[in-house]
Amino acid sequence: MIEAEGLTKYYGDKPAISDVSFHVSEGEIVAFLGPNGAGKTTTMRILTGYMPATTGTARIAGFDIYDQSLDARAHIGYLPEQASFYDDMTVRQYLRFCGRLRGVRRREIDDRVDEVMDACRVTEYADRLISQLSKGYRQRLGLAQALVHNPDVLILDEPTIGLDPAQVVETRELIKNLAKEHTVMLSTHILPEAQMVAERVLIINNGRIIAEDTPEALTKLIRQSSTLLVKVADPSRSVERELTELSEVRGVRRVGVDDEGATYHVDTDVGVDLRPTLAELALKKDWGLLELRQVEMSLEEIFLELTGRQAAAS
Amino acid sequence: MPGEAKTENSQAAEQAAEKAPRFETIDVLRVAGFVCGVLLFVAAILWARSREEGWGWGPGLLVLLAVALEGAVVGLTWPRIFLITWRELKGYFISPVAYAVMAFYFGVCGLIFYLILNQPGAKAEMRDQFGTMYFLLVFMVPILTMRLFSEERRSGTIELLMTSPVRDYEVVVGKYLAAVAFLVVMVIISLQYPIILRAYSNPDWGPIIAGYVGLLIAGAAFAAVGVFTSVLTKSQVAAAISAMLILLVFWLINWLGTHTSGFWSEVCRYLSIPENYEDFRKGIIDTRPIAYFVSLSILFLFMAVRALEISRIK
Repeated sequence: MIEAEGLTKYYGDKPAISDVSFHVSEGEIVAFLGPNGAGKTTTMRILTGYMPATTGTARIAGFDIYDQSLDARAHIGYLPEQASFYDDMTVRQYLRFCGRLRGVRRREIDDRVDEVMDACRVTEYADRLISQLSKGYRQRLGLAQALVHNPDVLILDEPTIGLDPAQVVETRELIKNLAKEHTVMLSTHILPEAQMVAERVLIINNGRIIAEDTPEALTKLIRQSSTLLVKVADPSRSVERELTELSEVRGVRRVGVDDEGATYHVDTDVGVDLRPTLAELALKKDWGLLELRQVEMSLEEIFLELTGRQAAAS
Repeated sequence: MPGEAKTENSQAAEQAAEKAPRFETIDVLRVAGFVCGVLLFVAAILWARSREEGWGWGPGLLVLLAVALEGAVVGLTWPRIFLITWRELKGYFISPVAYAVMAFYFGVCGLIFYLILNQPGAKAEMRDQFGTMYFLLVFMVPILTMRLFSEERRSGTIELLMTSPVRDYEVVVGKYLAAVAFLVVMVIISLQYPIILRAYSNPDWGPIIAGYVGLLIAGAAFAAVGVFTSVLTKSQVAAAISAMLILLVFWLINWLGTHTSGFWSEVCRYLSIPENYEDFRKGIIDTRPIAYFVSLSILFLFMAVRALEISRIK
């Protein structure tokens, strides 16, 4: 449904994205994961026909986005990163306008607008001016306008940004449901979001795709982190010394002290799970073990890891 | 076997159909409609010329018919254009700026109207009145057109517009027609002046009609300039001011032309706005001024479409 080949975009001398290639099959839900500035928005703007790539091609539903632009765009529902709307229209008027503009027929438009308002839960604001909507409802409206013409492909740029936690959960559920009847591509910089929502994750950093994986494989990658977090009630410095003396421990850092106790990060050798050993030691030395867990790899660490592997491989 | 033969034939037929030039009925309708409209317009001009009293209700009606026909052609074969026009027009009537412009325009025009007619021996004509109305449009029209693209670019709504299945020229023409439509509304309101003249005397309608035709055509040309500058910048004020400056240049080269002599001074005069509306003001509808204003409109609209395309590459 979505095919990108060798997409490159230069702003002046600097490439925003280089040689981005991927494909998304019909009905799949794929996440574009990367930090801010990685090139996610640029890629999506190229896919939706907003701007042309410097080199490379993209096809949506079989139509080339550059040569058959109108046909391709008719199959896309796009939610830009900071969606803005015509504040002088009501929700219903705006959705009617969007629907008609994208080819929904006159006799179907009213039903279609009602349907989509219902699906995105904005029906109660149907006749309110958009300027009066809160951020959460605007985001819902954004999703509604992307759906109103029932496109095959949905391209959503950071769809949960700026929403409160309850709305985030709601939106993710909605997106997962949509995947049943549409092909979805969304972008995010939140790792758990990519894991929860997508079937496949494309990791992008500095304008290049550095990895493509399923969420499960990513999770495995995360768990390979070799840092443990230990929190003990005993605030004395001797704890740190004793931890450092363990054979498989590579380093110990005290990362925090509060009225409950002291927190340490313990770096271990790769592939070693020191949790049982540490638990035993804490018990033996009567430190008062409060917390013991693996520290999850942050997104940045994953990127460093992956780019390191890429460099090592080449 | 008959089944196999059928598929082979249909394949050949498909291939033949793909290779044949794509002339769809819609293109035929557009060309036919457009040509008919032009023919009606030319017929109106010829008829007026052949009559003793020149322009009047007969030819005037033909012109209106021509305009209506062209409008129908656009509306039926390019439905998205009128969709955009309608949305923009509704936006005009909700915005305070439009009303402010109208209030100012009619305030000043009304005052001038009163002052002109209050002179002893004043004739029931609108020649001097038209002069003021033309000149004011140089300032009012850019204020009307400044929001058409600048606001969308500033707020980001242009992203959704340009990723919808609409061509760039449809967007430009759609918004342009909204400005022209608003202009028509203003002109209709200004019909109060001839109506007042009629109440007190029996004015000569020919020159008045000619003056109005010129006002509309010139106003439409000014609007094209305004649309162009609006595409160029995100600042509404910058768009308005640069449009006014461009129009003033076209206005003031007349002064240059009349105060010098030689080949270039002739060129200056013929390219200037005042030279070209003189005929209308005097009651003459000639093809040369019409061609001038129409060419100006087409030129600036064309440049606006180009500028929009370039803004995608950013």
